[in-house]
Amino acid sequence: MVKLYALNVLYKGLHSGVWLKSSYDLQTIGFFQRGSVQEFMGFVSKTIVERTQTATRQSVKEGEYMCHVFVRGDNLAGVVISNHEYPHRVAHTLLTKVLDDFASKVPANVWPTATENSIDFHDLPVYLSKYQNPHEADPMTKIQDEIEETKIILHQTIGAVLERGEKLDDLVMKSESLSMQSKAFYKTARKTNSCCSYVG
Amino acid sequence: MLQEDFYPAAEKILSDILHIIKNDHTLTVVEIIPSLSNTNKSPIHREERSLGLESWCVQPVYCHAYKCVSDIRKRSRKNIDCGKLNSLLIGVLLINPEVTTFWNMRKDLLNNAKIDPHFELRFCSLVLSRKPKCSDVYAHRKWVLQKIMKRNHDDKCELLLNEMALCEIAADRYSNNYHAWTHRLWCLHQGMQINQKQFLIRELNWSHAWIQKHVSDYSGFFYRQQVLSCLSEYLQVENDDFVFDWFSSVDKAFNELCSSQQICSTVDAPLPLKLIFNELNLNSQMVGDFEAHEALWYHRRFNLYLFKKYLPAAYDREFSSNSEFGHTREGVPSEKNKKIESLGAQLRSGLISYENLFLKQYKSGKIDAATEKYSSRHQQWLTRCFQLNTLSSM
Repeated sequence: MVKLYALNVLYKGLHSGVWLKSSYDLQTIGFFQRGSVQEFMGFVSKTIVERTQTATRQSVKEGEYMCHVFVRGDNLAGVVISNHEYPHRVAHTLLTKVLDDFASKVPANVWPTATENSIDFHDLPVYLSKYQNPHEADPMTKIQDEIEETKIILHQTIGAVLERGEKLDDLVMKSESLSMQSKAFYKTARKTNSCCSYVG
Repeated sequence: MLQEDFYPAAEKILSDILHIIKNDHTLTVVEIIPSLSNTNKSPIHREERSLGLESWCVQPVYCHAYKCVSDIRKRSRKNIDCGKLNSLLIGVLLINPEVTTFWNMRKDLLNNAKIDPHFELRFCSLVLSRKPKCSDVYAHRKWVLQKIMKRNHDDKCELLLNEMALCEIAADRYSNNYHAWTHRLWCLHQGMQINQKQFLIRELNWSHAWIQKHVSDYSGFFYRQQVLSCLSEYLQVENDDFVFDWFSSVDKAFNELCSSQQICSTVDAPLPLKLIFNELNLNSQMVGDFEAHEALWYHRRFNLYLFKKYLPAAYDREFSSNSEFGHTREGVPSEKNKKIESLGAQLRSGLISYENLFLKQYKSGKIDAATEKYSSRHQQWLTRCFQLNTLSSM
C-alpha cells in the first residue's frame, strides 16, 4: 500500500541523536503490535540518524518498509518511514519541507538540549496525513528538481547503514528504549521473516 | 503427560474463545502476542476490536484440540457433543486453518443446523484476519454463502457487499493475494446477475481508489481489467440515458484528449473507447507519480490491447459476414462502412501519437534506470502490437 507510517524530527548530536518531535500513523497495524511497531520505528529512526553523515540523504529498505533520512548541514535531521510503494522523491521533498518549517519555528540553539515536550511545533501530524496521497502533495516540483540533483544514497538493508562490526540483532537486544515485549515481537518477526507487523 | 496436565486449562481457553466470538459482534481481528513466559494468567486479551492470544498457549491448545477432534472423528457419530466439537474446531482452525478435513467437519455441523451460517461467516473473517491468503477459508466461505443465498434472496446484495469489504481487507494485508481476488471476482459475477450496471460501476469506482493506493499489486490491476472488459462489453450493447449521464465526465476528458491529438469526429467514437482512453490517461498520470513500478506498465499494455479490440474498424471486420452491417455482397465497402473505417484509422493514429508523446517523457537521461528499461520495452511492444514500422524513428 502507498502509505506513510512515521515522520520524525531529530538533532544529530556529537554522540547520539536527540528526539525533537515525532508522529505516527499506525492504524493499519494490529492493536497488540501497534505499540511495539511504534517503539521499533523510533529505535530505527534514531539509529539511522546517528549513522548518517551530515548533509546527506539516504533511503534504506528493510523488508516491506522504506526508511528515508535527511541530515541537513546544521545537523537537523528528519526521518520518514513509508512502505516500498511510496515514491522516494516525494518522501525526500516532504523531509526538506518539514525541516525548513521546523527550523523557522524552533530556534537552532535549543536543538541540542531540547526534549519532545518542550518543543512548540505541532504540524507533523498534518504533514503526515496530507502526504498520505503523494499526488495531492505535488505542487512543489521545484524542490523535487533540486533533490534529483543531490544524490539520494539507496541501501538494500539496514545492515548496510550500520558501522562495521555492528549487527541489528545486537543493537536491538542491547537497546534500552525497547521494551521486553517489543524485543519478543522482533525475535518472532525475525524467525518468520515477516518484519515487524503481522506476526504469524 | 504434559497435555493431560494441561487438559482443564485448554478446555477453559477454548470455551472462552468461543464465548467471545459468539457474543462480541464488533470483533474483527485475532492476533498472536509473543510472550516471554507463562505467567499463570489467562492468555486471552480483548481490546479495541481485537482478540489477542499469548503465544505460549498456542502450541498446547492446538495439540489438545487437534487430538480431541481426531478422537471424535474416530468414534461413532451418534453421541457427538456438538457444542464441544464446535469450540474445539474453532480453536484448532483459528490457529491453523489449513486443514481441509476440519472445515468439512464444520460443514457437517452446518448441514445439521448446529451452527448458524452467519456466525460461520464471522468466524471465517476472523481466521482471515490472521491468515489472509488461506485458500481453505475462501472455499469454505463460498460454500456457506451459497447455502445462505439458496435459502434467502432478499439480503443477497448486502451479503455480497460484505464479502467485497472482507476481500479488500485481506488483499490489503497480503499483496498479490490470489485467493482474495478470486473470491472478489466470484462475488462480482454473482452481483452482476442481480444488477449488472450497478455492480460494474461500483467496482470501477472502488478499484480506481484501490490501484492508486497499491501501485505495484498486479492482482488489483487484473481485477480492474476484468471490470473494464465487462463494462466495455456492456457499453457496446446498452445505450441508456444513465450511461450518458455517468459518462459526461469521461466524455469531457476524451474530447480534450482528442482535440490535443487533432482528431475531429469525436462524437461518434464508441463508448468503450472513451472509457479505455480515460483509463489510459489515468495510467499516464500514475506512471508519472510513482516511479519504477512494472505493474503500471503492464496495465498500460492491457489498456492498449483493449483499445485495439474496440477500434471501429476491428469490429467492423468481425461483423462483415453479416452483410447488412458491413460490406455489401459484392465486397465493396458501403458508404457507412467507409465512414466507420476512417474514424477507426483516425482514432488509431491519434492513439499512437498520444503514446509517442507519453514515451518521450521517459527517454531523457533524467529518469531512473528501471523506468528507462520499462519504457523501452513498452516501445518495442507497441511496435509489435500495432505493427508500426515508423515508430522507432520518432
